[in-house]
Amino acid sequence: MRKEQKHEWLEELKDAPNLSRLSVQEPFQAPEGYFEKFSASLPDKIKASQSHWLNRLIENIRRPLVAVPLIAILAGAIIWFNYSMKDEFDSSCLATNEEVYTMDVIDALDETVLCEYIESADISGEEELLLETITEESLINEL
Amino acid sequence: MATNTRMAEFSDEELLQQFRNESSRHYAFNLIVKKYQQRLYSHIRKMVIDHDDTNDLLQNTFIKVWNNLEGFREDSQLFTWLYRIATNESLTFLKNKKKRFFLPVNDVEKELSEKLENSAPINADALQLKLQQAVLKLPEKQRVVFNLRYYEEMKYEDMSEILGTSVGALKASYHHAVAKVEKYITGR
Repeated sequence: MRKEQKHEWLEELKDAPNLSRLSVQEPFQAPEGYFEKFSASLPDKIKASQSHWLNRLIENIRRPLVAVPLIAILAGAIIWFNYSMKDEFDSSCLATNEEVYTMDVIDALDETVLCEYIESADISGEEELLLETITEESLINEL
Repeated sequence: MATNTRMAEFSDEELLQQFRNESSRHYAFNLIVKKYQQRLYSHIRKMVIDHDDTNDLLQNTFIKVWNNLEGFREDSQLFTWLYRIATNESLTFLKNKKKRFFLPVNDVEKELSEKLENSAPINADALQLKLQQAVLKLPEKQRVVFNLRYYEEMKYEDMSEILGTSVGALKASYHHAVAKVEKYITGR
């Protein structure tokens, strides 16, 4: 079988007399001791390739095919973030006239005077019930 | 020497069996590396010429083997699977080289040719060097076909498993490659 294969191999070179006349030589040599070192260092290389996922990510980021879309996505995200923050800022900072008036009233309110007034006031049963159930927040809202 | 004797005792099937056993996995992988590292080195080196590049690609090849050998389903032989990984690594490397530097094919060939002259063994005669230069002029896939058939005398059926090309197409490719190489070394 091997002989047949060799014959077939030689047959394929019959139209190439110069090539078939050449002896088949391995054209390159590895440096001396290379293979011993290679097989000994390979387990560490495998370990390093598995643990340094961050390095692999950084390495991939440097590739134009990864870097260009990544930069585009980042730029898009920054623009969108700035745009949405601007909207939020606008709507939260602009108070209506009514809100400004309410805030002024609350600022001018003296808590002590208010308490004294409530104590001295002639309160009916219905009003007493209302005072018991009313919360500070709803009171402010009423103002 | 003792390792080599032990290594020769194991067939690829036995090595795979040992690899699938958790307790002997590292040992089996080490034997696979020792069994194939020289052949794969030689195969990659003929493609990329430079020793340092070959070293990187051989490392990548075995890292991929380690990561994927567990899922290897023996649809093909182990050695053709190893050659396929090494071949793909080499072809991807050459493709990236062109892309990265926007080099035309001729410039990559020129660069490899210069490396060839610098790394040729001292005892290489002019005709052997000319043969290598002729091989470098072949398109990359045809170069793989030529190297596997001419230097390694590999069967077309095995080459077909490695390259995913039909036996007929490989025979035709090799025939054309031989004609081109002969023409170059004859100086026609």
